[in-house]
Amino acid sequence: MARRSPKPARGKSRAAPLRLTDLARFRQAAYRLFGTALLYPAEERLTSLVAVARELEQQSQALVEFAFFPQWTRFLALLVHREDSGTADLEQAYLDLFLVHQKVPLYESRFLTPKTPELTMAALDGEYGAAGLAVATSFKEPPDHAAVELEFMSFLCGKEAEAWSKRSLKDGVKQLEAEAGFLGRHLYLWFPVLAEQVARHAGDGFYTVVTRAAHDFIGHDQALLDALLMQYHQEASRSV
Amino acid sequence: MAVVLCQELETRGFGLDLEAIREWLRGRVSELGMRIERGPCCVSRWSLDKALSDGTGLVLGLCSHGYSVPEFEAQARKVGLDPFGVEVVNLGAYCAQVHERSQATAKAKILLEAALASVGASPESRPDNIKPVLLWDQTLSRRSLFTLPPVRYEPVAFIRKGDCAFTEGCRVCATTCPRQALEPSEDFMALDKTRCTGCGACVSACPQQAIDLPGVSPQQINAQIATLLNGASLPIHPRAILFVCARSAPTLQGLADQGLSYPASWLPVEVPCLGVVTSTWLLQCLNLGAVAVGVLPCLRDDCRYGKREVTEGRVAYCREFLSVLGAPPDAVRLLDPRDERELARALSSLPEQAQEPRADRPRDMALFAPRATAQALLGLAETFAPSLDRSLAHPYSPVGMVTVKQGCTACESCVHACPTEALRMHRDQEKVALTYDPGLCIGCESCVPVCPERVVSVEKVTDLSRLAQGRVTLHEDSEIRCEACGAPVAPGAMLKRIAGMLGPEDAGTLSFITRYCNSCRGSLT
Repeated sequence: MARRSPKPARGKSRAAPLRLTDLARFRQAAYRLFGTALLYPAEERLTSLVAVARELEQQSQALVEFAFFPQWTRFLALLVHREDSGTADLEQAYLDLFLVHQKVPLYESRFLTPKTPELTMAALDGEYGAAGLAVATSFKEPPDHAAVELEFMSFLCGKEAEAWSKRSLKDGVKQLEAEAGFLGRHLYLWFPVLAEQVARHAGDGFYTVVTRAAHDFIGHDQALLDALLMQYHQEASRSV
Repeated sequence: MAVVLCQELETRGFGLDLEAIREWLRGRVSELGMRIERGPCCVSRWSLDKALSDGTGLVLGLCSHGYSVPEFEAQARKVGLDPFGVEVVNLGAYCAQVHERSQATAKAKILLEAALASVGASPESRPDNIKPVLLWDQTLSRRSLFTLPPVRYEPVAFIRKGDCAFTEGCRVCATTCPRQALEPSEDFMALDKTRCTGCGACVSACPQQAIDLPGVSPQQINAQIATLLNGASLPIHPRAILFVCARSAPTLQGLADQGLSYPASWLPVEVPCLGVVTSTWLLQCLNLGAVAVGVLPCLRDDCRYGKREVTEGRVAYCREFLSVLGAPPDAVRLLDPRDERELARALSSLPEQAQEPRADRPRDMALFAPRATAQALLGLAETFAPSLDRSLAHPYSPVGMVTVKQGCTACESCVHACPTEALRMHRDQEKVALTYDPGLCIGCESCVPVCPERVVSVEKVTDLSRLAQGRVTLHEDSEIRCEACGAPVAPGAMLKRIAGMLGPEDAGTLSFITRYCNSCRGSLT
């Protein structure tokens, strides 16, 4: 008795293979969406989030085979259905969870190096600097804020999409390595704990859905990047 | 919870009485969640009904195994159903085609009930317990390198950090993993998903039951086996458990196509790999009332576990143990999937039932429980052996026997290394005592290398009288107390050891160390 038996598939579940360019573009958008959703829910920001969510919802059926799909669609649906709901409840929840009472900190250093936050900041500044980026001075949050790290992943995915669209296998793989490295050194290490804490404090609320979906997405992304890289490295060693 | 039964089961082989099954399932699943229709085994475009996905799980009773797993999983996700919350039972091959109608129907009920129990206890699918596997074409073209190949998901082990004893020094899972997928990191046991094959060896090895693997998580297996061996009203007696490697399941299912039959008593339990099936599992099934236990391995070169000799060793141990008790050793069988006729022949006979399934079975009696091994060994001894004066030395003994030679300083290193608390240190005003409970010992030998005096040893021996004894004292010593405040300084043997290391030229220092406790030494200097 078991869930699955080792038998061949009758057919492939996806009609046309997903181009890596398209996948990278989608991931770019998803990381940005998650990052933005973890910033203060001002009205203008929420309106644009809803608009992007609506657009992504229409494109998401192509992603149905991915394991993050259920949480992802739940997150999008929640955003889309928020239209015209105002921001008061979200602002209250955000203040309570992340700002005033700080039940859950949105900062990596609070999870990984609570006694020496400067170590995390320096490491992140180094990562951003190596990619030619720096946190804008107008942005009031430190470089280890979840939204900044997610935005950085979005940036890396954008670079990856560019590489694939130029048909540069070398650059594409290099970007995959950069993404896997950043996730492994940062987000993948602390975001699961953040999501768990949010779920504990916020029950079934909006931010539980956001962080759970982001957690599923990040975990999936890390494993998918590892699988892709392993294949490319094997292929490279075969060619040599 | 929902159940879909393929209507072709009514006529396949000897057939199943589907209406009787529907009636029997009433109360177990809602009316809405019960369907009899042509299933994905018969309809290539069978679609999962949204109404069935109430989020609590789904059991599919199919007439054959012809359906696409990735397609089905994608469908499940689309309707919001966790694919790990779906249990598929091939009722055609396991029941309708191999047993006459009434037996087949009764067996189908048992298998369905066990599937429902397993689904109910299934851990939720999450990014941590699955890994994507890319189904690359063997002949990669340059173009294909720019597209994502089809993805399917395989379950991998997931460690619940809150339950893991890593910080107490436990490394049992890491030493068990045949692929070195588990490696100690700074403050937790890290899993390298790319190396994990999902064999489950770590799941059954973990003394804390802190590892989940969808399909064989501790809760699922406990629930499934308890249900299969529940002596309730269904007329399948005696009952035998057949652990089947998922890769050999088609062989067992293929017996039906060959017109080969075997007793309905054999209840199949498909596991991802036999690496998860320990001797404790085999013996505890017998202890829970199974008349026999079989294991059907895969013989493939790419076996997930890759250590067939361990499975053979575990079975050999169980058979020898049964012999020592005077019980029929063929109650535990290693089967060969290579020859279907031989397989059917090996399944055809069953030993006589020595005991009725116990009605007074303790609630904590399960395959995964801190004392499951001792429970199984002593339970079987109670049934078969006139006395407990029996022991068996065997390299695959699931329990060890710790002995401590003279020279122990009661430093507690072994106590801290023991992942099951089989070794404990007891202190009172005057004495320290190193105690040992063989019923908790898993013979992992973690205590051996950490002993600075090299006086601890572990023998792979199943000693029933010692198991029955419970906790015993292995070493006892007086506790030397501080002359100034009365707090403990150290056990006497330890101070003697320190004296031996310092030598007579340090007599002053030694006297100071032996008379005062740590804090008083600080204030006196």
